[in-house]
Amino acid sequence: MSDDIGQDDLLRINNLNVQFRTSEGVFRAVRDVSISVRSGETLGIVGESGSGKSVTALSIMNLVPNPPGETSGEIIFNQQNLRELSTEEVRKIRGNEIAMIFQEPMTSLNPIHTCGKQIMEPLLLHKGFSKKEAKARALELLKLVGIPIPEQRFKEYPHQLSGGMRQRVMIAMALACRPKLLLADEPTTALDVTIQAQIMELLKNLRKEIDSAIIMITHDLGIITEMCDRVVVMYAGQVVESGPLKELIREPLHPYTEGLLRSIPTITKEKQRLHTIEGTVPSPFEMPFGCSFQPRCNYSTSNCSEQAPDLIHVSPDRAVRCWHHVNELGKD
Amino acid sequence: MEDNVLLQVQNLKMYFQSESSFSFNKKYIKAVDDVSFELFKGETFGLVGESGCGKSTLGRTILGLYKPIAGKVIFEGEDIVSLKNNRMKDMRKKMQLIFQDPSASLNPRKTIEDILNEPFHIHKVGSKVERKAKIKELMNRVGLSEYHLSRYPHEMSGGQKQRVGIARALTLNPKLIICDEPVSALDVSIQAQVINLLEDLQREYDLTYLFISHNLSVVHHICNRVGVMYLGKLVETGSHADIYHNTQHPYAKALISAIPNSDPDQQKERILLKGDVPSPANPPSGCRFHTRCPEVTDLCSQAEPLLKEVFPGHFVACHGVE
Repeated sequence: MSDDIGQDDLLRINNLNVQFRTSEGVFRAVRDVSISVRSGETLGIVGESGSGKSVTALSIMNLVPNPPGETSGEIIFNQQNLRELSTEEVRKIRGNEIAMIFQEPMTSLNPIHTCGKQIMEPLLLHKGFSKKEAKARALELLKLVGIPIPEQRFKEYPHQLSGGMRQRVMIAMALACRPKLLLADEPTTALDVTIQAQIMELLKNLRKEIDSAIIMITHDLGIITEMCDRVVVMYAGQVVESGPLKELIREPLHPYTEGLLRSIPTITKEKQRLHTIEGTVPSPFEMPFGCSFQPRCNYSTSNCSEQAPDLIHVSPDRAVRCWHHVNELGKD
Repeated sequence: MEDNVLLQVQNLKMYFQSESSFSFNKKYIKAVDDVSFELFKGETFGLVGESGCGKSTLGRTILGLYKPIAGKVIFEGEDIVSLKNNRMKDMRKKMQLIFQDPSASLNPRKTIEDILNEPFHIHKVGSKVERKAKIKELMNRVGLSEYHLSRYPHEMSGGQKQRVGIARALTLNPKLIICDEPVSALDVSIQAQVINLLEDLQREYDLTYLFISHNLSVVHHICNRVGVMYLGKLVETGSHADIYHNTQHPYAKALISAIPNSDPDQQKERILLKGDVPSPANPPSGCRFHTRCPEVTDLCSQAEPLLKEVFPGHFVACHGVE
């Protein structure tokens, strides 16, 4: 996938590969992933555990530890390849122009600093604010993310807050420097349903205000549907399908996407037996020959187990990695 | 009617003493506070609520894993709260538990065969040959092969481990299985497999499920009747249709509207609740939901609403519902 659709891509990942050398062998967590995000857009990355979605996000921030991780490929942000920059230069971008919201705020906030101090940190570091200015901005941010009595919360430590409040502090911290790109890795998974609804509403409203692009990583297709403009589906370290949200949900092209959509129980569907995708995600050390999804696929043919399909564009904004669509295109 | 009831929970209360007890007035966390409901034979009753609402504590108290402060748990006509240890042990054969996290609930140092043998061993049931035959039957039934018997839990995937957990719960032919978030730790594609398996087993072995979950879509799929809990209290119970299509309690309404919907054509307005769940150590006065309720009145902070039958079989605890 070497298409250059426009210069307005804020971030373009080209042929990203991440592998880990372990005692059991080489574990290829991300295989030849190419993704692009435009300014102001919300892109969803959906996949099950082990699909490589979180490692992709970490490698954008250059946070994959090396060793054991080995990364190759290009990550082009604002016309510069982040992978060619020095650690110092990347540090200037991280937390400033690209910020991240993690899944579990309890483990990603520093327990020995107050919430206020942690929100002030990026402002002091990147923006050269004075302490007074930083404090004023931090209080403003706490108000923005809907924290009641911000003056008091400013002085409190993460353990004094509830899960939902902590996630709000994380979001305030991420937004401190008005990032151009926000990476949200399962931002609501650790939260209760009613709190999840609050945080999603907050992110939706903020999106209008801050005008930054968001990459939303989740396993929950419901969240993707409510938040995102475009979706990338990952399976076993590869992108298997991508496209605009509505088209992809209504008319999934890849058998995995189709199976995933049919196997989630929803309250709008009539009660009926759930569709299942048989088998389990293959072990990273024993990837099947050919298409990675072929052992679990209902449509698998002999071709599928012999040769791995490429990600092909079926229309300008839709791509799929499946032999059936390659063959269909050939016929036309 | 009485014959159909497998389990009756009456005014059950389970309080935990708070850890910080430097003061002389002891503080209690009211995890389950005056809960009553019935389970009919062969049904699946869903218990939903957010973390800390007491749904897991309720499940464990029913099993006798906690000694309740007050109330009765009547299983097949016998109050099991007051049973002596050896009678209780007999009772336990009839009720089993499936846990949320299959990795944490299987002993890592035992093989799958040893794990499945343990219930027989504890209850001194069957001969060696009978046990082996039953284990093989169950392994096949839950979709595992005999090859797995000599494996250790760490050699299996999350879905396979949960299947072992299910097989273990079935070893002694129980009547009631309490499923405590059985699919929350699993990936979507595996979740569907396990839900289908639970449904098949229910039909085959004539089981009754108490299905505890925070996932309202899963509960919608699997349950016949549903109870919604908030801060240790049941706020609404009724049939599947009552809860999802004729929701009465403001909390239940908000909970159902909060489910993210994967259908882009059916996006609806959402009822957003303000604030967080209050601490169960110090619950609000009157109706426990009044601090977050969009339909709150003066009465709500003063008097506690009781569960009233608003439609046949549909109970709601709210002053605003007539």
